[in-house]
Amino acid sequence: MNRFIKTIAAPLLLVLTLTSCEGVLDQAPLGELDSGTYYQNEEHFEAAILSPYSTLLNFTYEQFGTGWFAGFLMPDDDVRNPRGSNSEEEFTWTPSNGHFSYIWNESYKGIMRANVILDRLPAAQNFADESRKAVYEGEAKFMRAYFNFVLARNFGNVPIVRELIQSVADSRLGNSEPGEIWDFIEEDLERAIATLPEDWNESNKGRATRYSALALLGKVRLFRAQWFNDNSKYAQAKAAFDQIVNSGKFRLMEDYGDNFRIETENNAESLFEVQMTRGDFNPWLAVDHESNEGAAGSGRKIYMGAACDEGNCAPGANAFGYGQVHITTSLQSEFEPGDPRVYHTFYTDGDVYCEEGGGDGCPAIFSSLWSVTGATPSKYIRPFEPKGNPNNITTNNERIIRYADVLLMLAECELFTGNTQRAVDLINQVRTRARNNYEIVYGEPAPDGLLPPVQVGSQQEVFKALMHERRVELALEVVRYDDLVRWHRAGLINIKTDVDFGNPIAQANWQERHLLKPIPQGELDINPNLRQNPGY
Amino acid sequence: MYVLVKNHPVVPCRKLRDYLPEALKVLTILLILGLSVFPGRSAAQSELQYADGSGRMSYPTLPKLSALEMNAAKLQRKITVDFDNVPLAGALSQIAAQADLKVSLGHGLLDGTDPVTLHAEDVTVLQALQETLRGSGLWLQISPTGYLILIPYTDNVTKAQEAATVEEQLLPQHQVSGTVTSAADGQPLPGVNVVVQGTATGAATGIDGEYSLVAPSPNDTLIFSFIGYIVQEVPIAGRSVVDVALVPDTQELDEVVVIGFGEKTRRLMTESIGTVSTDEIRKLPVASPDQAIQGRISGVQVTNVSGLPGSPVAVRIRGVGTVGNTQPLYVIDGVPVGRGGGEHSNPLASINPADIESISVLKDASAAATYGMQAANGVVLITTRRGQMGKPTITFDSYAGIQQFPQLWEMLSTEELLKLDQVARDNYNKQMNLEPGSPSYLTQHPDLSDPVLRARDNSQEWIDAAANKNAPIQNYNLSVSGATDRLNYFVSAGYFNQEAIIKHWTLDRYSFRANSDYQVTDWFKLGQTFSLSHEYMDRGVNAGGDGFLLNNAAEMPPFFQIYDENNEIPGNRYGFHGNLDVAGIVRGNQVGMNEIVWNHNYDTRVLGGLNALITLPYGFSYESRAAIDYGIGKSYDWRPPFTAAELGFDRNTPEFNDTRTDALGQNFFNALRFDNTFGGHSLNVLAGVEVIKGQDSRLNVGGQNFLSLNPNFFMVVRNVETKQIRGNMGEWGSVGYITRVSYDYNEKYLLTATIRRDGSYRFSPEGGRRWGTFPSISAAWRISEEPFFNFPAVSELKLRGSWGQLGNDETAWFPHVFRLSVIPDYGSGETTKQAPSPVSFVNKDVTWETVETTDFGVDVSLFNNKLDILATYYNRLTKDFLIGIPLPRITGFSRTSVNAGTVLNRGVELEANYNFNIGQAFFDVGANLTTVYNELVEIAPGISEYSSGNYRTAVGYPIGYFFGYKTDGFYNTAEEAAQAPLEPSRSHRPQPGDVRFLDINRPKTEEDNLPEEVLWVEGEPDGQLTPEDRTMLGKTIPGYFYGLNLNGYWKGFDLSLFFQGVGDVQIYNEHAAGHMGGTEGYLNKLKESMDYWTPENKDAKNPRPVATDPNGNNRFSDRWIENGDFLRLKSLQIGWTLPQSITTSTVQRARVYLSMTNLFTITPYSGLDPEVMTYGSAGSQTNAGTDQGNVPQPRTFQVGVQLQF
Repeated sequence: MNRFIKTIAAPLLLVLTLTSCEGVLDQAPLGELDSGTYYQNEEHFEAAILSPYSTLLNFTYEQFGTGWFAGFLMPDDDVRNPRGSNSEEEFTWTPSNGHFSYIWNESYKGIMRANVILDRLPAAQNFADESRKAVYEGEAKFMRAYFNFVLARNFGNVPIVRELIQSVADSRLGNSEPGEIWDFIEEDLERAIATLPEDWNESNKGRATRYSALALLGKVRLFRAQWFNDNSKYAQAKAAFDQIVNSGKFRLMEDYGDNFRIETENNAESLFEVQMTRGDFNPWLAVDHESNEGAAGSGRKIYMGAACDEGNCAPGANAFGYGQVHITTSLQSEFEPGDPRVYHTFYTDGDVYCEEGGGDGCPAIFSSLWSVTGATPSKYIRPFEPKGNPNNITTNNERIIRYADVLLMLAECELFTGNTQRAVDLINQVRTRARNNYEIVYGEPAPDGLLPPVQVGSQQEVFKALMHERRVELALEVVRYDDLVRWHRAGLINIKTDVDFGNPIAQANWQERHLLKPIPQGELDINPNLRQNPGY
Repeated sequence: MYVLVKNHPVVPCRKLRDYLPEALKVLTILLILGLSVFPGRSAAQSELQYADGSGRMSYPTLPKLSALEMNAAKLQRKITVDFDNVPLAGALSQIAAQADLKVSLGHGLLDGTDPVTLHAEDVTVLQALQETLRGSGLWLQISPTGYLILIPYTDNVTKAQEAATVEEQLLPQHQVSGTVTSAADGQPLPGVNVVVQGTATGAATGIDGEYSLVAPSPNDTLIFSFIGYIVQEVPIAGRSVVDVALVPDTQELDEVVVIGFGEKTRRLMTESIGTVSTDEIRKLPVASPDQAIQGRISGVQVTNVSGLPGSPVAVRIRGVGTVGNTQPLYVIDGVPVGRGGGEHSNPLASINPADIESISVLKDASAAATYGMQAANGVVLITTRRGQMGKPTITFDSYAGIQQFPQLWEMLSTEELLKLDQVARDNYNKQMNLEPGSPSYLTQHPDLSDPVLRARDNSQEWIDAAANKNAPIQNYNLSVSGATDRLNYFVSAGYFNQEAIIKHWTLDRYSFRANSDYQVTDWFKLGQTFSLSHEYMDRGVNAGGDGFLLNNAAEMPPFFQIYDENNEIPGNRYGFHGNLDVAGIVRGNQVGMNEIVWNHNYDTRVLGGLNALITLPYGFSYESRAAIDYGIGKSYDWRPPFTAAELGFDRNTPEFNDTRTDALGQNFFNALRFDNTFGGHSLNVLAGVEVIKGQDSRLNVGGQNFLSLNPNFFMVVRNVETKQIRGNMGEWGSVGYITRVSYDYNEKYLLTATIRRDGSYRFSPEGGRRWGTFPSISAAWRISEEPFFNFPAVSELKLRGSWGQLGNDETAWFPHVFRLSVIPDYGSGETTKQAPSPVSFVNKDVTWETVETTDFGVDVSLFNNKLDILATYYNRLTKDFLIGIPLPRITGFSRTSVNAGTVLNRGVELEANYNFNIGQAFFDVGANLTTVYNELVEIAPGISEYSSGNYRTAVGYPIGYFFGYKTDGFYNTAEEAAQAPLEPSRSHRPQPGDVRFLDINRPKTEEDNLPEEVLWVEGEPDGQLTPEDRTMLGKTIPGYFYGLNLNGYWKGFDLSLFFQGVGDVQIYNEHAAGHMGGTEGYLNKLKESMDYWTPENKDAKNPRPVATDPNGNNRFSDRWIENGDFLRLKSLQIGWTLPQSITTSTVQRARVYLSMTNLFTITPYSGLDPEVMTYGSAGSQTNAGTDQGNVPQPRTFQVGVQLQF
């Protein structure tokens, strides 16, 4: 027996072990989905289609305003920073600016997520209804257009990622030709308009509709008309906006404040908004962070909530409001006396800041001493509650495009295609709603002569009225600097001389190069085909 | 919560025929079968075979039964011999085989000896050997490692063994006796030869190390010699008792070195392997095994990431060959346990250093080839201790000590800080033409006009409150070991406790080990290892292990109070009431938070296995091993609620997280070995297969808002408002086929060839990317063995060389699969829905990287082994190196793994060791030096040079060099400033006192006629300061590093000094960049900040203070790059072994010592510690070398005692 073991069995054993399971090499990531198993059927796409949308959350979740507010809101003339210095506000823009690179990164991440859908959709089987594919395609293209529009209007002739990049060699895309990306955006939106539904049911509220795409398309065309002085685009933009108006599905809410309240999200004035559903997340982490599942809320409340100035502090200052945004005196005085929209735009002396039970230091009356300019934002924030759990986040949806904006953009198209009368009528629709809000806000009828209708006049006069109306109606809704840039490009205004930034340093520093943001240096460092925007 | 899904299909075991196309495996099998079936030798030859192989190689799993006492005992074993005209070599081998000993036959010594005829029953091994060698002119010595070594009579040894069987010498004149011990550990040494100089008179020591002899004269000198120890000459000087402590010869040629899947004597080595012995490890009290090799072995650079307990350690062997994980593979008792040095903790810290018998570092391709695809960064083999022959030995070791900061930052006083702040604001207001009253006009906060506040200066107090002065460290070890000729055992238990030199950070480690081997039958041996360790860490805010508490406390505004008697947090005297909203600063009280926040980590690890060895006929043997590495972890993170009023920072949501992890690694190894000698030809073959598989999982339960803050509630995550459950898991596996052939001819010409074929689960199965074959070959020529070599001063001269390829598969897992995460989600309607989204870029082409190493060396021993020199030239070329490159973000991803080019590491390793004595004082001086030249030689097409933060990787430069602006002082006048190059993206021109950044490059023009890919002409200014003017500012891989050892022994005293240093390296002092120079603000800064530019102080260290830094003075530039060279007295130890006249009979040995570490460091570096590794970068060199203000290596003072019963 021993001999058998020694001479036969043992070598045999070895041979057997040599044939051991090489199956241990066949592993796949666990607890995750992967491309081998996902994007197969309708159910998969029903979930995956939300991933491009989820990128939107990243823009506004952050307590320090990273990206959206710091990058887009700060440069405009409606707000300024507190004491100290702020490079976005003061136009000391460098290619290493983290807020700008954040916008760049997140926009392209959203495009990637849309491209994955478009890449996988054609091969997917098991669709109960093949026509559903077209809807997903429309949503993906809408989101891709949205992010490309962010890129185009901020960074200029950026690389166009037409399809999912799947090799390192393909990742070195250079700048696009002037105008190329605008064509691409329009193509995507036209396809989206053709395939998206007019409506979504209650449980799918918030997904892009045909009208979301029409509104975005109209806006893109309006921008194109002015960026490239291409007057033919006004008529095309008008055509898109008119479809929205003529659909009869949208109206100005009776209460202007409904546009900023959590209780009245996705209302009849809304064409597209970012869906914030949860606030119970860690505001110190990005929503895509591993340990931070959950659709986030907006960091707007803590970023814009009042804090202190020169030692004079709002209740819960620094813990519940960082006081990073202050209303410039030029915006304060832009409002006509008695305009009730002030109530939903900024707090100023004598306003109820927070009410009984609102937390430490409440009730409190707003004091202009808390702010370097005497006023801090109230839009989306009112009534301010310096408490809560979490205390600094709101799940209030961020409205991206609402009907009042559509009406005013349509008015602009009408104005520059010669239809001054309709332009005035459209502006007056917005003003009328504002006037009617006086009673809603102050509990008594509007005084006579408040917000009188705009009269037909010269193109220049009506444009002035339109600029005024856009500024007060849409203040703090992160459209102002884009408006200034397109009007400057169209030669309608000169930012350097016509705009009061409310900050002497910003005033001194602004130059033509600030019409575009610098392309992130980190991107240039690894992509030899990419060129910096002029002046940086 | 989501469900864990295992997606891959179950793959059935493949059959043998599936391998037929794979030539290598077939060859391996044929080789094994062939050797088994066709032994190819006559019966007469087979009688010559050695019981346990020739002694040139044995098995790592076969422990060394044959330590000193045991060897001596074996000589007393009763045997029967039956030789009839047997050649001497055969006779010796047969005797040795019966005694379970190994024979090393000296070369040529047996030439011309007569065959042996001897019949004897029931004689001792010693008697049999004596009779066999009678008349041959030869004698044998027994080495500590169990080798019988042939020695000619004429050597400086003894005839005394034989004399014992002849009658004793006549005319005794002086009786001498005594005990011989090892100076290293005080253990008695059996088998030591003691001869009277110039005579044939002598004796050997017994098991207890005692000898007794009669010398011709009391004025004679005794010569003590023993393999592995330095020969010692001691005059009798009339004494009757002469006790001697022999000093180990660390570079001994017969030292047995653990190699991959085997052992080898140093004389037969063809590979580059560095070792550290148990003596050295026990001398330097270190917390983990990787620290034990710091400065000890040429080619191995060890950097501690911080001076905190359990902090990661970066180990680089022969430079940096990959941009990925650069840590070596660790193998404990034959079982690979992964790359040590995690990002934030050190998994090797669970190994008790006192249990270690030896550490071998496999440096060249030939040495490491047995580990194939895991071995590219070198391999560290750790062997734990085994019982040694003799009665049970109980040892008790303990030390206790204190740790201190070697130095601390000096921060500004309140007065200085507020002055600096005011100057910065004034300069800004002036430069921006701002008038008081403008909302942009900068003024100090009105609170700061309060004289009470201005008079409060807590800058030093904040640091003191964070530091743990005289932090204790203690260690206790108890072990029992012993062996009989069939069984050995080693059992140990240890406790280690260390507090950090910052507050609220304690490490406890409990460890237990039981190793044993049992010779079941004469052909079957069973061995076992088992270790259990439990580590507990109690930390506060530094949960991630970063240690930045100190940094955060030091920068607290100095006018802030630390303590508040009226604090609202129960049991916590830290508070913030006095500071709330002072100067509008939002700043958490780091010291207070650190006290109340919990982070408890518990890690338990079981490492163990069984191995069996079957001795087969004809020199074959079969080995089988199964081992596991099982770890479970638990962490409790608790953050009680606090408010801004309490701690300056608002986190009013109490939060608790309970995280459980487990990981099971399994290792199976089966091998057939062949070991035999034919004439002068020795052949040793290993053919084996190693299968590794494992899985891990993690489960996290967390909650926020508890009904009660009583720990009974939150520790079980109940009564909670918000619950969260998360988890993930993974599986892995690899298969390797190993074949190694070692050959030597008369121990003169040596050759080793190894090939391993490895499969890694990480890569795509397509296109052969999963499997790699890694060959290597090494050879050596011992010139000193040649007949023509006749230089008596040179006792050993060996030339050696090796070439080979190794692999590295450490990269992102599954780069070929498009991975989706369900993490991003989105609301639609009123609910949140998971929105699966890609999280990884797909790169199917990724495969292992190949390191090709060429190695040439020479080993020289001079003057009777007094001086040993080892010199090696190495050249490591990493091809297709794996790198996580930053991707353009237009892809939607930030980085991906690619095989991206070729990296060269080249250098020289030098080691020298010198032994000498001055009378009874013995000294041992060792030095090692390694040079590293690192360069990226080529980069794959489609990938250009790239930056990642402040680091750049580009062809012609070392990996991850510092890339930024060069500066040249300051603009001293308005005229100078006006001449400054234009910086397009800056809105403000430099002012006097601003830093002068250099414009050094210009864009190319048509006339330059340069290739398309070159865009910039270097060294020619264009009048513009742009990012293209950045250039190389320094490198993070030292050009050289070295260690220096000095050991001395005098009577019972011993002294050891150990220096360690690096040179030709730079450090980015990010801590200084963040805490020096003047912008506005109330966070405290370093003292040097006050040395700033003014028209009167143009030679200042810092530019003018100016708020918002409009010129970017503090941007990354050579201002923050410093010389990182250092020389450190790593340890100094003084010990005293009590004479046996003092110790009792139960205490065999007692030693006490005083040990000091990090006593002083000589360096030009201005930070706290030049031993810098970027936090979180222990595993990768691409962003190493940034000093973020990590806690420095502590200076420790320890006293210790070592007892043996």
